[in-house]
Amino acid sequence: MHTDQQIMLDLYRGLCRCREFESALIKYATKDGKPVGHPYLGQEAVAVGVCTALRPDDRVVGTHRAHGHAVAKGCDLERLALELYGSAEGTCRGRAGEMYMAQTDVGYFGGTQIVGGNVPMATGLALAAQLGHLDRVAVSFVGDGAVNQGVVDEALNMAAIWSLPLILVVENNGYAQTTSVHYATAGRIADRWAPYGITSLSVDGQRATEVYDAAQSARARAVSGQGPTVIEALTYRYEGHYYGDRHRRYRSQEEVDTWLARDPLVLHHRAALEAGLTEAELADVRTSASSDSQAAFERARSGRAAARPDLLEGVFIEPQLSRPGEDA
Amino acid sequence: MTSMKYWQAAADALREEMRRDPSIIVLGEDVAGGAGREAEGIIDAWGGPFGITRGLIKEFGPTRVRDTPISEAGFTGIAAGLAADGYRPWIDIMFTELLPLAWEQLTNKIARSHYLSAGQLRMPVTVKTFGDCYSPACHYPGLICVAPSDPYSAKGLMTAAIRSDDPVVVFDNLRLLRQQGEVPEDAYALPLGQARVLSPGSALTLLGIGASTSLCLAAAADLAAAGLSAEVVDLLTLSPWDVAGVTESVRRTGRLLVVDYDHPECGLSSTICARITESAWDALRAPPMFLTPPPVPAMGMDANPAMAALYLPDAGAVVAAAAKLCG
Repeated sequence: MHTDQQIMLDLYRGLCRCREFESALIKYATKDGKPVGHPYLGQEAVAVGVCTALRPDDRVVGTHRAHGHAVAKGCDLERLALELYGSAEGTCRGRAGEMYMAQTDVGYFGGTQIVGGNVPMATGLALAAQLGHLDRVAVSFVGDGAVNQGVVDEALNMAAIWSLPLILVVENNGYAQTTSVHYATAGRIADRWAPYGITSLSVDGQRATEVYDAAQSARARAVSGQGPTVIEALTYRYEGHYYGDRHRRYRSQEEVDTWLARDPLVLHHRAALEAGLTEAELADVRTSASSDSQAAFERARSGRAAARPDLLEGVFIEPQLSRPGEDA
Repeated sequence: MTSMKYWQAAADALREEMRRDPSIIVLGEDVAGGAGREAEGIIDAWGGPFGITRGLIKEFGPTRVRDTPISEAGFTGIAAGLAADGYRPWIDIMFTELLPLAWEQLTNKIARSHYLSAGQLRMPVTVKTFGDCYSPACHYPGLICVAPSDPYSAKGLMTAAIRSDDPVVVFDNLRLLRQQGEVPEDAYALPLGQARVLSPGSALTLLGIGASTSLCLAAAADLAAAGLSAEVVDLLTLSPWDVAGVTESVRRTGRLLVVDYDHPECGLSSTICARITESAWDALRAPPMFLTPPPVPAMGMDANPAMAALYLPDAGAVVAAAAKLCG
């Protein structure tokens, strides 16, 4: 239990922003015929617990289920909403969409559609921090499915032999698309890279404070040259793999209900009250998160659309090659 | 000017750029060699498969010249992360047969990041590899692909690749490794995206790609002896290639033969022929043609090198194809 009220409040604010942003996306996108993609509902305590323990210039890469990673790392809600709506005013001029959207000035280097595909890049960001002797870490979020991708193993091996300031956060929500982690994964995830000498632990991913503590220790180890950490966070996604996925075909109602009863916002709300925060303070935070998110999507609705003349811009930086396809 | 071998010219370019720019980091398998045996006095034991990176660890140290485990996908992605944070990684994917291992990182991270992030992420990565199978990389937007054809272009294109803010794949060729040629001692970069005319001619354009350029020059000499004037053009940048430059040559000669050691189907040479058919249509005196090996899955570091003689085009084949085009 955390007694630091400021941290408890920060964690609650992060949880509310992730939850309200996702809820607003679902509400507006379904109304406007825009894609929702892969909702982060239910897993908020993982992204928020980790990112609250980070410094602004720490590097984070996300997964395909990346809305929560972007929000938790501090990306601008309005520009994220615009990006999700395909607007030229989005964080990436509408080019990246939900899985690749990035905002590097807050340390968020984007997600990827490839399960596990961002772990090498995070390892490179960690190597950059080490080469520059910086007080900086790189964090890669992945799902449980990613632990079976070979490239993740390659990256972790190099992070271990070079003692890189890397934190791998495995969001074990029990399913890789429809495939149960119990079927697909040999052994315990938290045990997988322990033999590499990598500090590995498993935490309750529904409790933001537990995730925060684990990330804070991992960060301290990383910047003091003690190398990478793997944090497995046990969590659950409330929606299917994507919005509209009929997930009851592979998950029982009983299982869903068990996890809904351990909602990360409810658990943290209770913990925050116990730490001395008031109902009114917490209600304020929730209300702001909700109105900010609604406002972001109202703004996204009137965003300037990406235009044809911009299409070939920026394929290359080299000026003589900058507009390929217009050369003949 | 100094006379040196192709591999020395490429090595010179890298060394000179590393002296100039401390953000260049060399990564790859055995780029130094003997890693982990420093205590026994072992250092610089290999220098890459053909010695191109030999000596670098002694001059720049193990921080900038880093032997990796055998993890092509992993260290290619690490290069993406280094590049995203301001470094200029130079990575060694020994042979093109190994590129598929790194393909996901090379395409989804290195080729796409600058465009998808609307310029927030830059990927000034140089990927150096040996081999003829360059078309898959040329197919992918966002990657610049180059293939030097002699020591002069080996140094000039390697320098250009390293200095470019875009990702560049350098396709070197084992057939050229020991070719001797005149190379300026000072650093210079050849312009990316520009082909060069090596010898002017009027009856047809022979377009060489990397190692096949020597073949074109040899064939042009044979054709000249037979009274046929061939213009030899060296493509140098394979993607995005010099449509305007090649078009100009073909408009002069009216005929095009692309000589290519890569596989024929969906390849660079068929793309070039298709584009030139459009861009030089009214000047064409014959349909553009390409000469490649037959579509056999035996190319590369073959178990049996004698196979190469069976499927690679030679100067005789170029002369025969040229004669057919002009006939």
